[in-house]
Amino acid sequence: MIRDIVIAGLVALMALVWLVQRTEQSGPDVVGVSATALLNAAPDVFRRVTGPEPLSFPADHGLHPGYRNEWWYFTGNLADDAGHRYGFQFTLFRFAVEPGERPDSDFAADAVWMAHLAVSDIEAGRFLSRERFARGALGLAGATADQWWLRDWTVERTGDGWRLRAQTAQVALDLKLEPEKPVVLQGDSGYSRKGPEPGNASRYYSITRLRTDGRIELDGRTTEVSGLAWLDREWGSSQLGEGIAGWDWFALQFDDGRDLMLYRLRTEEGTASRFSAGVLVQPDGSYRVLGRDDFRFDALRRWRDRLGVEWPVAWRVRLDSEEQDSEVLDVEVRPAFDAQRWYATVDYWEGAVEVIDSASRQSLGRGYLELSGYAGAQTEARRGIRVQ
Amino acid sequence: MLARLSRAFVYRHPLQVLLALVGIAAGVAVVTGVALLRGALVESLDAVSAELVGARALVVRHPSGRLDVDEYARLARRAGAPDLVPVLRVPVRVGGQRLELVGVDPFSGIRALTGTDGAGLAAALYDTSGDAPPVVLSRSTLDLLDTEIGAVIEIDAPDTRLRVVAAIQGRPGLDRRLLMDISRAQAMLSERGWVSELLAPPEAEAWLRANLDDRLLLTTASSQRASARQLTAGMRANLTAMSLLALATGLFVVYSVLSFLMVQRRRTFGLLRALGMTHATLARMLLGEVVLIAVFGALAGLVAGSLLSDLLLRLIAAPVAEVYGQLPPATTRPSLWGYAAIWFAALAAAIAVTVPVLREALQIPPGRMVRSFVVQVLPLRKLLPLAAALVAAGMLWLVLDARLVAALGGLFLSLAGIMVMIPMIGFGLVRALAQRTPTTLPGRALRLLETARGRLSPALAALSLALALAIGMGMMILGFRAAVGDWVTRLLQADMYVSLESRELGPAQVERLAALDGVEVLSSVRRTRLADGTELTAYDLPARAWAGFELLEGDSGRARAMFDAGTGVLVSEPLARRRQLRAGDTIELLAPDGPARLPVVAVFRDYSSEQGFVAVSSALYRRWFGDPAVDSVGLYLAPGVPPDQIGRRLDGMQLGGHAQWFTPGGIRRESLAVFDRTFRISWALAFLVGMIALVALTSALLAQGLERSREHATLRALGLSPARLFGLLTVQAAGLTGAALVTALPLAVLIHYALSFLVQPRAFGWSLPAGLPPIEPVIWVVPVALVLGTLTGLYPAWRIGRRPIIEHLRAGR
Repeated sequence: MIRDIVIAGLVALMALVWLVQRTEQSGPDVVGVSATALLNAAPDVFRRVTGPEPLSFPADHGLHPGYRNEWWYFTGNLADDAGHRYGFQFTLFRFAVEPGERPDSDFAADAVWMAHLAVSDIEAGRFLSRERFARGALGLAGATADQWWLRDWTVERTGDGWRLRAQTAQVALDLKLEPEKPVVLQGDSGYSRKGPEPGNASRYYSITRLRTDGRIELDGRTTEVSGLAWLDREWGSSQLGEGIAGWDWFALQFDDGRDLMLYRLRTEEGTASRFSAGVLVQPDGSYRVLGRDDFRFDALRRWRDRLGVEWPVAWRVRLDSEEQDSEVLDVEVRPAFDAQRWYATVDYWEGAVEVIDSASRQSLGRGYLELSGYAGAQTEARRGIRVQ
Repeated sequence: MLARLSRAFVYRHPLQVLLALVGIAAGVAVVTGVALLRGALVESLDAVSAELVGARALVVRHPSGRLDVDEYARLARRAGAPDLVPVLRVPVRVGGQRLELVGVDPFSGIRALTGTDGAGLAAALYDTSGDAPPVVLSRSTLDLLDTEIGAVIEIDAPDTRLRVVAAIQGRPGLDRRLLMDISRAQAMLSERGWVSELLAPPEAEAWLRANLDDRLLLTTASSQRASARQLTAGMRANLTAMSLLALATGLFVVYSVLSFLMVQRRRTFGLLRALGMTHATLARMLLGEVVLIAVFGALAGLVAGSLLSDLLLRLIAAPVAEVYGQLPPATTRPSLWGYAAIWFAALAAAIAVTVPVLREALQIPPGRMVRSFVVQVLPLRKLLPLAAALVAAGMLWLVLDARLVAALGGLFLSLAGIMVMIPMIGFGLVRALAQRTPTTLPGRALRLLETARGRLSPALAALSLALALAIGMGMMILGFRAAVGDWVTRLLQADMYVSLESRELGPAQVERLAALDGVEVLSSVRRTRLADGTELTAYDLPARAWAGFELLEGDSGRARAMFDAGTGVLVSEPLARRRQLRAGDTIELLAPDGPARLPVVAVFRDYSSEQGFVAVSSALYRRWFGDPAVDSVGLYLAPGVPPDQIGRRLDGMQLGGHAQWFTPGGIRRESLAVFDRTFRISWALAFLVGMIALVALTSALLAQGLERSREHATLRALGLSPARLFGLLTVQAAGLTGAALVTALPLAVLIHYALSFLVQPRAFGWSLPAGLPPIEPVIWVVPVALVLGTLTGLYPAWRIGRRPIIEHLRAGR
């Protein structure tokens, strides 16, 4: 009798399982890419950056065909009259499609463009971010010496400066950015080596201080804001060498007029690659390129995001070169708030930070911090996608 | 002890228990199958925009179906523009299956879609590893096409090979779609310059209303799906009616099987009662058994129904695509709630039909072991009022309520009323037949049936209803088919019809066709949709073509004069019915430069569109829309010019696209082929209902055979050979089937007329010309039913024939 019950039960269970299986719907569709994966490989048909070349402006503000990737990168810290502070990031990425026969179509594209717009509402601890894509066709996205755009997100050149306009459903930016310092050529006159192979390099220049004024519209309320922004421009193919897991990148603007850029290329073992570098820019615009041995970082605190990934959001940064006359700096870099992480196609943390003197605990300035490659191991296993 | 008793019974009669299980399972299977099919025809029709952007996505279209790609680029770059998703949609065929090629831009505001291998859509569609352009399919489409990831498929029309690079799970709206990068799709079709539609998120509505060109139409994906749903409403209503009939028949099976099981155990029950078992305990035991059978039967029914639904979906997919221009999903999508609802309903229904059986069982007095117990037949005076009340209620509902549900519900009630009467008439027939040959074996066999009336009545009624349905529906379908054939023949007055594949004909091309040697005159057709969704067809009709309209209302001469002058319009019958328009009424049409009010001069017969349409003269259409293009042209040839000759010349002409030409005969054949495919599912369901009814008959005959076992044993003891007994029982089965058939025939004619004149107009908007019902279904069904019905007697005959006589004489089991 028991045997019969067991058999009948099993048959019924099988039927039930079969029925339940038929009702199953798809899980959420998530696609994520590691930023590192985007930058460490490129087919040979793409041009490589292999040595210094003279740059000329404004022509070099426009795009450089033939390279795998290129970006236009604004970050900045702003405040309104009432003292409310905001961080902002506007980035335009271009990923070239392999050259070859294109389909005979209005939509045939030579590149895919991605734009990231983020505003950190520091008082409210809100990180508003929006990602957009467009194919390089039908004039949907592009970059010339005078204008960089993805659909209606635009950056127009106005003399020496730019006007940035971009909006999402929640937030809109309309900012004028005027350089207070000349262009800084990173690395060797703009030739920024990032790996041992000849092509493991990018062309890299920055404008480390742009006086910024304009308006932020948040929740339907428009506020006049002003502050400082930073522009990074970079292009190349297969910049990153083998074995690079990610990077930690600092763009710090000190109240005394100095600006400091540092990046650590993190190896898969967690150490700093010898190609880690930086630059210290004086108030008068003169600058000194820094090598790996000129600085040290130590993570002070990690923040765990909702996917369980830990991001080192607070750091101690030291400049202690053995060279004579070189400056010594010992500061702490703290996030304006922790949750400034991009949950988008590319996984990274990019947010407004404060700079504090390690000894006196006095505020020394503000800046932006970018952390990449931390989500990689987990998310790649989970999602495993490459954008080609 | 109860459980052991039940178990012992089950083990002794596995076949009977199986029959009960099959009865429940079959009824539940048909209901489940149709319910899932209905769901597929509701949820996933035209759901591609919802899958690509979201359930409440907005859709922007141009009335011509082609939206200028520069218009898209301009809109996309305008300040505040939402994420627009350009989509190119083109029907294609792969291995005879109708599919849709959907070109999308994975870098637009499209929902993130991930393949089963985890790759994103962009990565998949930008896969450049092979020669053939990559496509992404839904998992079910992959199964439908019997292909796999990595395989190359060929599409018919542009003769192109595509490489399947990924599959997407659980997005039914993408079923029967080939997802491709829009640039590859455009290039493959050599169609630059336009897209089919733009999709946008729901929050973009205000922006779009403020920024869209007046000529572009904005709808929501949900309203688009709602209209797709509406298209199939009639079809779904008919399916539901069929499935409920199947369930009703299935419950008859349950009833007869249960009563049969009860009959077999009458002796046990009498014993148990004598031993002191109370009514309550007995009821508990019987209920427990019923619940157990129902639980397993219904579960099996759910499984079978799910499989059935996919088969039915296959049957229905082609007509849904051909008739409604909609692609259903590749598989049905059940929900746990849906399953649970059907399962519980089946359980409740099974318990409900057990009540009379239970009552019967509980009436068995303690100690009753020998004499059989005759099921009481309700007397005529009790039955007649019930039947009359049901028929009257049904008629009343039919007359007072003009909706489709009233037509179906009223028909149901009336049929229920008539069913009550069927056993009476049926057994009357059996009696009359028996009296004609009172001394022969068949006569005796039939007379014996009379004594088992109570037991056999439900089965007889079920069988009669199933046969009436099969025949009546067959009559309706054939009558309808003839009407459609006549209509197409009348409509197609030209000698041949010319169109370009998925493209319109411009005025220059039309002129070249008119200039062809042997062509006397042209007619043309242009279809469009007004802003409110009203279908508009513009006709340029020579005198000969006018005869193609069969006017149901309106004066032909006056109608033609006003139609040609552009001062009046014709409306098709379905539209007239939907909007309650009659000849002489005024209709408001949303022309591009403002609403126009025009008189309806006539209503004409049309079976081409359930939604119906307004016919206007092409002169009026051009005045409104300024559009000189036409969709197709009818060529009226000079006497003696064969269409083939013109056709050969057409093949050589460069008309700017692939020219297709058809003769009226070809179109008629194709239309009737589509018609036949459309009604395949009705035949299938009618067949299922018939099969279930036959199971009901088998179990009823078994029950009555066992009940009469003592009589049978007596007959055997008196010298009736086993072969003669076998013959006796077979005659009984045949006699019952015959009675069911005879009562079914008038009922079938009634069903035919009800379907043709009440259900069809309310479901689809069109009427059928009156006439005598076609006889063919009778010719097909009657012999099949007689043979199958007689066969159902074989098993009971075999069972009864092999039992030892003595035991039965003694016990009367």
